[in-house]
This record gives sequence, C-alpha cells and structure tokens, in this order.
Amino acid sequence: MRPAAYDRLVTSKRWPTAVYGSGREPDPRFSLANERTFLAWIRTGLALIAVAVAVDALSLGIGPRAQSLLAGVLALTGLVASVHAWRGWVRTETAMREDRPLPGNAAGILVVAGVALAGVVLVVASVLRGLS
Amino acid sequence: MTREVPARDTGLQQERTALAWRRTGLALAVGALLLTRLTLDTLGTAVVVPAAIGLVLAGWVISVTLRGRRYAAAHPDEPSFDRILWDGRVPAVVTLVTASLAVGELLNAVVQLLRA
Repeated sequence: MRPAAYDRLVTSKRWPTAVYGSGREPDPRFSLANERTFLAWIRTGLALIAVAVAVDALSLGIGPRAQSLLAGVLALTGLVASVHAWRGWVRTETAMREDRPLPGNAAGILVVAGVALAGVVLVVASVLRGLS
Repeated sequence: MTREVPARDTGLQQERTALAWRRTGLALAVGALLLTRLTLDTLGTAVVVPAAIGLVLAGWVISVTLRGRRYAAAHPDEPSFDRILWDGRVPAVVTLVTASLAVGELLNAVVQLLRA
C-alpha cells in the first residue's frame, strides 16, 4: 500500500503536468532509460551544432556560399535533433505512464535526411570547385 | 496495491544515467567554449554572453547530477525510487539552451548566405 502523500507528489508537483497528470508511475528503470535516450539526442544535437559552427568559422576551400549552406543545413538538423529529444522524452514518458505502446521514432528520418543532405552539399560543392 | 520492487540497481541504471548527464554537461561546456573561440572574430566581446550562459548551464547540469540523492525527494517512501527522475524541468532547460544555440548558428549561416 502506497501512502497517499506519494501519489500526490507524483502527480501534483511535477512538471509538465501533461506528462505527470495521469497514469501510474512506471518502473524507475524505464524512466531512467528514457532520460538517457533524451540525453543521447541532446548530445547528437550539440555535435551537429558544433560542426555547423566549425564549418562556419574555418575555410574548407569550397567557397563561402556552399560553406554557409552546409553550416545552415547542419544547424537546422541540430535544431531538429534537440527538439526531437524533448518531444520524444515527453511522448515516451506519457505512453509508459498510461501503459500504451511506445511512440515510433519517425522524427529520426529528419535527422538522417539532414546529415545526408549535408553530405550531398559537401560532395557537390567539392566537385564543382574541382571542375572550375 | 503492492509493487514488485525490482532488485536494487539492476543493470546499474542510476550510475549509467548519472554518467550520461555528465557526458552531456561536458558536451555543453565544450560546445560553449568552441562557440566562443570560433565566433570571437565576428561577435567581438558580445561572445561572452552565449559563452557564459553555456558554461553556467554546463556546470549546473554536472553539479545537479553529482548530487547523490537527486531523485530521493520525489519518492521518500520508496527506496527503489532512490534516484528516479524528478520531473521534466532540467531536460526542458537543457533542450531550450541547445535549441537556441542551433537557432543562433542557423541565423548566422542564413545571414552569411545572403551576403555571399
């Protein structure tokens, strides 16, 4: 039997209420795993942003326009990764509390597309530079 | 209702999570320093602002997760909840700062693209 104070704490003081307002407390191991997944996505976003900043600041020999385009694509992908980190954490935690199937990872395809696009920009710009 | 209390520390979940927080804190610190170094020429002394915010946040993330019993306050009656995530505030702040770094760099790239 859990004390009533426990359930009050679990539902009332925790933010966001969209997550903690309903459902039951999941196994702590799963909440911790969800937290680590969030952190992994944040680090992915940080890495993409760091590369974007570096591309912006260093000279790659592919021309300033291609370089800014590359930095923009990478920064945008980093933004998607960090927003997805939060959104995924909220959706997974809510699903676990309400005992529903976990949401899919559809946003992951956006990050894949962003990294692939950055690769295409780099290859095309390098080839064009080599030809001219 | 009784809960099956899982064997304590199965799979070292708490340690792995604490280490993941520290990695992220360090990544934030490195990111802030890199941003400082590489935008020094374009931003001038204004670069101190994002750098300070990033470093303070990184220090805070690391110190919060170094505190041994961070999760205990949420679950005083359940020892198995010793370190469960308290709620979504810390993740929200970390997300906001990371996203603003991305927006800042994105704006910078767009401005440069328009000028080029």
